[in-house]
Amino acid sequence: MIGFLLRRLAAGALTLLALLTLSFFLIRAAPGGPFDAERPLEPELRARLEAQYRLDQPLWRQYLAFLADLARGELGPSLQYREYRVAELIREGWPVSLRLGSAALLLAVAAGLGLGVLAAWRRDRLLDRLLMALATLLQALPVFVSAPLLVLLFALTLGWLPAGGYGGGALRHLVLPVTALALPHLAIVARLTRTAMVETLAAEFVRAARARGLSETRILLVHALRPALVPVVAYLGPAAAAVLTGSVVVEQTFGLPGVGRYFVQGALNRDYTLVMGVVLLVGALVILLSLLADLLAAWLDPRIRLR
Amino acid sequence: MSIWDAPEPGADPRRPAAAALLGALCALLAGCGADTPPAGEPRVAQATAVAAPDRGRLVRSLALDPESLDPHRAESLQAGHVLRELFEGLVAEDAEGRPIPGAALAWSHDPEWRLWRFELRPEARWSDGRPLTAADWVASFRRALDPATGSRSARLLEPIRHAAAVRRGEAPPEALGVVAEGPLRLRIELEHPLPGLPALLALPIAFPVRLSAASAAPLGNGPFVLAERVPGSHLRLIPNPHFHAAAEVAIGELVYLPIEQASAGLARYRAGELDWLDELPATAAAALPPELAPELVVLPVLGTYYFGLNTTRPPLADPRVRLALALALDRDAIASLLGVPGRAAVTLVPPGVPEHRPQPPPWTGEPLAARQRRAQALLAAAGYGPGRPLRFELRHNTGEDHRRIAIAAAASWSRALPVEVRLHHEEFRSFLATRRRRETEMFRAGWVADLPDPLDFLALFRSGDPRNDCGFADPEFDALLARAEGEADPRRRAEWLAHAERRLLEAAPVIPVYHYVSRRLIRPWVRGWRPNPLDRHPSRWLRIEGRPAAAR
Repeated sequence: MIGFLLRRLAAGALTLLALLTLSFFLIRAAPGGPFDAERPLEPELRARLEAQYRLDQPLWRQYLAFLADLARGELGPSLQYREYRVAELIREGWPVSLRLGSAALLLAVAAGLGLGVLAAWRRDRLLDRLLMALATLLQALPVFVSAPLLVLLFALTLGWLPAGGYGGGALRHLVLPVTALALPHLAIVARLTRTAMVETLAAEFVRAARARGLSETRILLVHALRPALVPVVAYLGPAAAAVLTGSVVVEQTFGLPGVGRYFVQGALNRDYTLVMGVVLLVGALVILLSLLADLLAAWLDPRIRLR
Repeated sequence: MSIWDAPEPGADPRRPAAAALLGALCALLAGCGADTPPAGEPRVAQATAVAAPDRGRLVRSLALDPESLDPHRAESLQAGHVLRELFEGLVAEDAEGRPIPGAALAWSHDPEWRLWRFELRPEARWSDGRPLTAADWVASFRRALDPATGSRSARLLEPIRHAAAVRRGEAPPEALGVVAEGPLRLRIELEHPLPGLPALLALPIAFPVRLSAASAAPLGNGPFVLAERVPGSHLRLIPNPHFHAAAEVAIGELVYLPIEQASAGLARYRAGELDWLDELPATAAAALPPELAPELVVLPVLGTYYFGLNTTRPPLADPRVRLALALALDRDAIASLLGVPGRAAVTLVPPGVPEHRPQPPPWTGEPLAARQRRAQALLAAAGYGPGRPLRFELRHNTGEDHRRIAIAAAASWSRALPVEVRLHHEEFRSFLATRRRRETEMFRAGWVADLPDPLDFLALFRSGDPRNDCGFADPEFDALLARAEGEADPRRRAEWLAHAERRLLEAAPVIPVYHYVSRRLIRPWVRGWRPNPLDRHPSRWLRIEGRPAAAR
């Protein structure tokens, strides 16, 4: 177990390094630079500015300097938001994304599991068909469609909730973005749960449990659910990383100060340091949460061996 | 300046609903975090001021989160809006954009317009209460031009003596022609006559800057101070009690919300969360719900959308070809497409520049068909015909309006002329790099004036100017600009510039398409704003009057 953890962490560190290296060179290979604007600088001034940020050095040197900074935990100044360091931007924005994301994740898991179990229990009947049709619809609906629809309905037509803004994290400001963020994942969790449950319900040990006269509820929620959770957990590892690091669409639609928009803005502005910051954040989260998902799956299903 | 597309609006919550879904959500949300804001420490610049609660709260949108609140480093139009709230130059602008005394009470100049003296207000203060003296101004101008500051906008200050050399690091900052003649008197010496200096000194690049150890953004001297800044969320400003005209500021709390997505801005305006929505896209303005239509304000902007033509390589290196394309473009169709009939542009310098007489080319009055016949003749003379069509690429940055304009332009050329246009769009920064390296033949461009001065537009085409992506190089045009710059008589200066524009449009390295307009939504209770040439509306001149209680 300890050996497994160490091996996985070492492999994770290598993966992260490869990811950072690739991103480092890719963003610099994109045409245009952080100091390009419709109002350009004279070449000599531009050269001076690039020297300030070490952008005048050969790429391999910049890369080594980046690694050296990273080893010291230093991500550097943002090239676009000139009064901020990358670490500051992430420190201010990530708690917002984290709060939204964890609420959305909880909602997706709780409601998704519930609906999935319900559909499996009523498999091939009307309720099952309805629920699965709804899940397919929600899964197919992109957030840039569902989020404005939620605003139109709950903010503009009914006037129950604000159309945007973070409001210091007040509950009524979170309801719509959390819902928009959760819906597609909720649908996927419901479908995965249903499929796995239906499969488990046909297994030998379930028939044995029935033969022993256990109640249907007990079979459903105790014996069948646990192994059926394995595919859900496997899905949730990487999905959680994506949800917890914010969504550019949700943040822009609702005007939330999370880190999701830095993915897009960082790349568009050629804000090299900010891009590396968010790549590091997401990469590390994906690796850690996948590991967590594997551990959880092994705990749920003793037949899975950690190697 | 770059033209960015705008954001959308939002809603005002009334009562939380009791629907089952919402109830379930509330339970979930409550379970995963306290109700305290976790967004990190807001940046507090200085909070010496206390907002007077009976003065109104004004919420305005920004189409872009300001990249910086340092006047010497910020570049975007949107950062400029916020900087005008936080700072004041020697000269300020009234609601109609006319220069009025700012931090300086009065000024005078020699007959040559080259030596200026500014009398500073004795009561002028930084927002922390410390007096703002002539020495502070000298230090600020030096900082703006210091190459280490790396300011793009500092080019605008180059009329000041030795500014260009200081900016390039060829002269020490002390050489700059800005001198303190005592604590309350400032002397500014210029390289050449400039009657328009006051307008220049009202720009953010000429704002005073004092760095503060307590915050990343510099200290200001304007009508408002920054109380809170959360990137991507909001900027909250409160009145500056040390501002010399603090008693006239009628807004008690000023909130700027950066909303980059146009549809989100419109939703938030509709929901009552915004009093003022800037940069409404043409398509959204055309499809406004009827109740919002009276709140739409469309104003002319001193700016021009144009196509730049690469004069350094065939086929557009041939002036006959360029003129043919300028003649045959159906600008009225494009202006109608954008919902701005009447703003079709035949000149680079937009109408409305004081002292400037627009210089429409001689063919302006001719019907389109006649112009297109002349264009055919020009192309035939250049060797193009049905058997050998003119082929070139028109490149634009990605964007719905840019695409529609490019398609309409290509259609109007290929319908009338033996022309094949390849349209190509590209993400903004890649596009700028392509343009700068002159790797395309024709490109979309736009310019919004910093100053109400034809030179602000014409200088873009001076040979060797880093903004001259057309590669246009005409010694006579350069000479005309130089003469205008050396001219002390404002009327004669305007004539030289008019002459230069005629010359430019004949050579046609640029095909003007339309003159910009601004589109915004303003609540009826926001009063005090006036149309002005540069379309700037600082909140110092605004007040809230007659806002219904339900909208508070």
